[in-house]
Amino acid sequence: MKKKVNNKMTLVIGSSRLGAAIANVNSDEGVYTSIIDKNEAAFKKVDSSYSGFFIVGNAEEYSSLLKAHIEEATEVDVVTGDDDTNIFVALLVVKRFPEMKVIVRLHDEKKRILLDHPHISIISPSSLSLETYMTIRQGGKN
Amino acid sequence: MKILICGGDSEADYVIKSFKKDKDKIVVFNDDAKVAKRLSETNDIDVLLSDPMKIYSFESGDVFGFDLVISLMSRDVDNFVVCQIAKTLFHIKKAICTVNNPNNVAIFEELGIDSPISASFLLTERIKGESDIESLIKTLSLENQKIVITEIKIKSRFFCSGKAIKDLNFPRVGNICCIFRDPKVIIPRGDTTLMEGDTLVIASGPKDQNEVIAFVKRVDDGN
Repeated sequence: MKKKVNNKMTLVIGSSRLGAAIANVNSDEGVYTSIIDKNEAAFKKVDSSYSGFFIVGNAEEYSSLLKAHIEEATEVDVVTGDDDTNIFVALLVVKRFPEMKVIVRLHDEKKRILLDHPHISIISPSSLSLETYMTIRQGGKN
Repeated sequence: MKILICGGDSEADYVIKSFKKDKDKIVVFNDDAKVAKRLSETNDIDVLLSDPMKIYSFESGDVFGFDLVISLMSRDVDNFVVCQIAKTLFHIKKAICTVNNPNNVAIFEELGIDSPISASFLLTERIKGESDIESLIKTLSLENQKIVITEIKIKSRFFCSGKAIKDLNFPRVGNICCIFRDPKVIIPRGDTTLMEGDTLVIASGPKDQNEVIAFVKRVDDGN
């Protein structure tokens, strides 16, 4: 493992392309990282240089989150491909760990209101795409 | 009562029939065209062919302020989100849903769902209730296991047999709600005497159930 920084630990839930990329970035920066997915094959998206935990498990089950070291985490990134799973897991995490920083990917922008919590931040692919589109349309560069 | 029923198939059909008898206003969301058609035809009711997971379904169904949502989706997280949308955005007063994973009963309650119902959880609780104690004792849980109703049949060897309730020093954590003395139902007073063959119906909290049962079944005189 690389030298770790600031006693930070990130738990990534869902080894989607985004999840794998987040795990790679954190690992490269020397942050302790754990990534969980119910499908072991999904970990193929993570770089071979990744230095952290791989946990096979269903994040909808609290016991799997414990297995994935959530109790040591300082940040949880909930980025499975399923909005409803992400909403459920994010609300469960902030309920059990009220000070946890939680970042959630949400495709359905209208469900943002369900995650109205001071420690939850939302990544919305549609909003980000729209922003990029507007930038390009106004003559900016992507 | 105004009720929203989301998802489900035969269980939705059963719920619709049960509430329709009582002339409640029922709105049904179902995203399976065949199921929606069948529910509509067999119950003579409008079924909105729409995904209950989508906020626009709730908007088109005009369900703001309804009394109850019953979510019967196949995945636990879907039921959770339906209940969250119903309660948070549409101020539906009470949310009930089914859950497959019995461990989610406590978690859903913790997250604000009023009544998550798991068949396995209920079955286990029932089995525990039946096996922990002798067959002459039956239990029923109400309000999500927060209230337990215990039925106990009085045997002649029990110390309480032949005594008035006021002389028993009955535990304060339980209350004898009624006594069945075939064929009569007796509402007990302090001077009511318990007799062999009586069935006591006792309300208590689940934690106190064993204390209440142990008290009634005592064979000594309590001294």
